[in-house]
Amino acid sequence: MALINVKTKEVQIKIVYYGPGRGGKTTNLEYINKKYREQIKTEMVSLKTQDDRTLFFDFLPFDVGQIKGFDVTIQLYTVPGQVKYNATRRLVLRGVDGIVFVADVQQEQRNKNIESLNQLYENLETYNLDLFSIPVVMQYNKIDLKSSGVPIVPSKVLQKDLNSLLRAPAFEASALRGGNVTPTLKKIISMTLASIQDQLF
Amino acid sequence: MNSISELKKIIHPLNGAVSDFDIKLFDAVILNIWQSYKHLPPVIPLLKMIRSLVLYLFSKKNAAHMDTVPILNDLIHQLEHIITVPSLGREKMDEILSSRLEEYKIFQNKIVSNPDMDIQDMDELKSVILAIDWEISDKTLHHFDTVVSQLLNKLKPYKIHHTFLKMIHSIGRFIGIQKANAPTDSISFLRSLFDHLQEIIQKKELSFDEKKKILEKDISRFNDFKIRISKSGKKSREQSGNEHKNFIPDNDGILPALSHLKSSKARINQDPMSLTCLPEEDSSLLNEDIDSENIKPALSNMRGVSKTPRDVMDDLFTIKESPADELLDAIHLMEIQGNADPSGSAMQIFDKEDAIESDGVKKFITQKKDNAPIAEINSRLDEFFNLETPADAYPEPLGNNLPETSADGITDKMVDSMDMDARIVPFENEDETYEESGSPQKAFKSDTDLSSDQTLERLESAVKNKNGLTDNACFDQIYKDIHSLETAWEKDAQKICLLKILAHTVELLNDTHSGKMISKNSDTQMPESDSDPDITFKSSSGFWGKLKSIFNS
Repeated sequence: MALINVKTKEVQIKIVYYGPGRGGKTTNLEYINKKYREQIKTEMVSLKTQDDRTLFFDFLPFDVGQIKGFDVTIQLYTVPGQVKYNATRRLVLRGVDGIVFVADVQQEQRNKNIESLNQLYENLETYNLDLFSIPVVMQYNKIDLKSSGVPIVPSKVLQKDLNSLLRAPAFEASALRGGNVTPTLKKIISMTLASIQDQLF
Repeated sequence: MNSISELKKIIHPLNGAVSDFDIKLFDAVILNIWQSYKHLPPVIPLLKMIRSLVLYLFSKKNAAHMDTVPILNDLIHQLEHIITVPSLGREKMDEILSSRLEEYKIFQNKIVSNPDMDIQDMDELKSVILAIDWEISDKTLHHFDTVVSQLLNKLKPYKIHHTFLKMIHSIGRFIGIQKANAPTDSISFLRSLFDHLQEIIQKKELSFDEKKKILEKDISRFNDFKIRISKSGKKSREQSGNEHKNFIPDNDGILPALSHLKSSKARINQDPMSLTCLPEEDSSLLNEDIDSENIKPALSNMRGVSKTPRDVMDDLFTIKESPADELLDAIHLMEIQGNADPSGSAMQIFDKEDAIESDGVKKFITQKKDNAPIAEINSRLDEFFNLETPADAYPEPLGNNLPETSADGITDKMVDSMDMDARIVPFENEDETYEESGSPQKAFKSDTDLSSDQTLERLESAVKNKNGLTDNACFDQIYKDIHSLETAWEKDAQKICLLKILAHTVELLNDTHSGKMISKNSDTQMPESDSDPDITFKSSSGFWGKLKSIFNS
């Protein structure tokens, strides 16, 4: 939930990158952390296994500056994608304000994307949150694999698989190369801030 | 015929034609002996041992241990001796019994602790269990199933090992079915079962009873686990009243995400859907080499820099300062307590925090609305992310005329109506920036053969491309490449000399090309200033103009 301190004029929102394992959630944050290291004055917390898989979560907080006199702080989190860590995913989702669902476009991951999104819905339900009501942005990651001949699911099919009911803004992306990472982030932040702007500005 | 002779007669087929053995008759004879001689203390244990061995022989048939028959014959002989010689004293009888009991236990250990299971089998089993621990996927589960099934067949004669494998198989298959919904301790339980199996196989000094104890403990844990999951299973079945009945799977039989929800819920959201694509022709996407040079994981080359992700495992027990620390504590607590329920005690850390609301702090649950963000939000974000383009440059949700989606099914027609490829964001807009801020001219300054080779290849292809030499951008790239190679090869005089020759040649070509271009354009463009000699020169046209330019130069 968004925290607004009226006295100190501070706003804090929590964005969670969610999706199946090895889909590129951490890569999104790493890209943001590296590209905007001048602006992001805080450090990124990352707990990985030896094989570079997210053990618990990644955390990247930063201030975007003032909007209408309010200091806006964004907290980016990723969840561990591995199937067995659902309890951790659920904990990370607590108090979420906006979600970026990072889907893996590889053909072999098609079912996992669907399972993961279904699970996201269930996990949010445990906090009485409705996936259809909170700001969500879809990101179809690893689109660059197409050029390497890796079989990928066309975006139209992904839209049908994942977004036909949700109807969230969707971005094809290559987190590894930074393609559409920033637009995805900008979109989710602006959607989330827009959802509370009536209370704020 | 006395009972012992009858017993011998019944048991006789076990030495050869096992199919002729009548187990009911055998039990009847044993019962008869027991009733007739139960006043003799050693008779009952001897009968029990005889019965166990006979059943073992009957079940194993030819695969039974070679010592079984001699031991059985000896037991029967001793039983006969005790029954037929009533003058035997109590001490003598106890002596006979204790020696036979000892022999029996040794034999029992022999047949139980020596399964034909080599190191490779154990390694394979371990690897499939670790694979599940690493990632629960159809592939790992299929492999697990195959390996465990093979071992189950192989270890069928060894009850303890077989029981362990059966439990391992059940838990593994349960995890496969439940996947993320499996309790958090499922995998750790699976691993502990494997560890115990490994222990009883590797520790040869363990007696049968010790192995049995280990097994019994695990069986009871297994039963507890079963009870626990059956309870939670019932709960979840009750909760998930919504079914997929209204949804039509696509050609691959795949149901869309969230299709199991009630249609009314899905219908609530009729926001337009947008898809922002990356251009297929984007060179930065297609060029693997450039990419691999440009972007490395943030953690890989930032050691020692203050912005590197810190290893919070080192300071788990320090004072918690950030939300990440608190979340980490909650996760640890959950792992200790095995409590994944959001209402559980793992969440009390947060709840405590929630309770301490300082003055002026308000909490809002974000609700997606149709309203557009105020201009200040976008401008602030554009400024923060160094986006030169205005906010609206990114494609806004399209498909306002999108057909209404319902949970009754998604038709291909509807999907086709989504203009998925519209409004492409040029990829290079941000990637180039990233290159500059990440590692400026890294490819050229790294002085590795690879980067020089790549540059050389690009230079060669640019020079070979005749059409490319008519393009100013191409000339710029050639100059850049030559400069990069000069930097890379600065210690090699010959290469530098050749590069200079190449640079002069390209310069000459460029001059000629510029002259042509300007003479072409001069028919339509007026000189901006007559006083500028260059412009005057460039504006001259026709044969005489060119001739004049040669003399001027």
